[in-house]
Amino acid sequence: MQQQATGPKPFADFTMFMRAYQDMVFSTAARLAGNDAQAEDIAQDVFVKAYENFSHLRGSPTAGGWLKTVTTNLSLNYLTRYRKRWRLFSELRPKSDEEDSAEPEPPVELVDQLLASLDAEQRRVLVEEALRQLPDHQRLPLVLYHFEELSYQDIAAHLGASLAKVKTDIRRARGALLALMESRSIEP
Amino acid sequence: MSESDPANEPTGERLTRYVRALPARSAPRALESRVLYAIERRAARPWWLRSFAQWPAGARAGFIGLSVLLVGLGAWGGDWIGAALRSLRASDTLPVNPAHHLLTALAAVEQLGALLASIVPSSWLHTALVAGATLYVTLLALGALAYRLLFVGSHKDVPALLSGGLASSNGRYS
Repeated sequence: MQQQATGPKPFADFTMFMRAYQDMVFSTAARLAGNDAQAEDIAQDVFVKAYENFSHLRGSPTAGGWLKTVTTNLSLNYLTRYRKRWRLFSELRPKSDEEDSAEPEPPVELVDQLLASLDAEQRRVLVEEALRQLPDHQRLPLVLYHFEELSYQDIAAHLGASLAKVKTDIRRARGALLALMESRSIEP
Repeated sequence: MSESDPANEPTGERLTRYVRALPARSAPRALESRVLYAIERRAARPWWLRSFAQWPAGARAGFIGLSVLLVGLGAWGGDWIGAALRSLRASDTLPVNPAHHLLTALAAVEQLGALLASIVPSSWLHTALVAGATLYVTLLALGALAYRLLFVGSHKDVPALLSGGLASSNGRYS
């Protein structure tokens, strides 16, 4: 970022601005969409919107947050059809959710066991490969909660699902993610 | 997230700690050129393909004026339109059959309108026009309100721009 003690230094032009933020925007979109081609489309749309607002963004200290919010919202828009279906099922299957919520949380030691010995790039590859294998209805709330640090309430509002469903799916997705990472890490 | 005793963190909080520290992926090399091309393509669109707010002032004024003129003609220029249609139909200046048929159909519609106007008092017609316009505007406003409340309110593409800076939609990004 371009943060300085006296405030952000305005970007000289839009290309410099884009170069500063494109990795963050693409990473966020790829994690949410679970698909690189779709993430590239989303990132393109995000920067076209940023260009339309560049006069405000070029010197703003919150430009990164603005881009991240737009990326999150556009990624969710790309999955709108799925979201509606998911919301429907979330309301139709309360009994199943209650059963799932009783599943035990994976032990905290498992997280350290899988990740502590790896360097940052190895961790990234392991986590993102496992993320891509999760179904949309698990990956979306998991990424919004753990990567984007949205609250349960915000996620429920974004996805149009009940709070209980969001909590259950995040817990279930966390278990699935760790299981996938575990299976990857013991592969020869 | 508790920083004081990591050994007691629940699994979720420990996972958050790791994934928040992950490096970003490199964007594809082609992304920059794709974005610049998309921006150029949007800038090259003719004005009539852009949103109404981006039309030239003259075009916007002309469009509004034409709309008002058409509405006025529809509401109060029925006699004048009818006379014009009849004179066109009677003249021999339209040798093409489809145009003649179209004028005949329009004249029939005009005659039906004139018949209705002779039966129904004009004050009733004007009241119906005003009521129709009011209902149209009300439904448009209700649709816009529902769109903003049910769709945009929970799922905005672009966070609002505030004076003096930018604010994210959830206030947690900076």
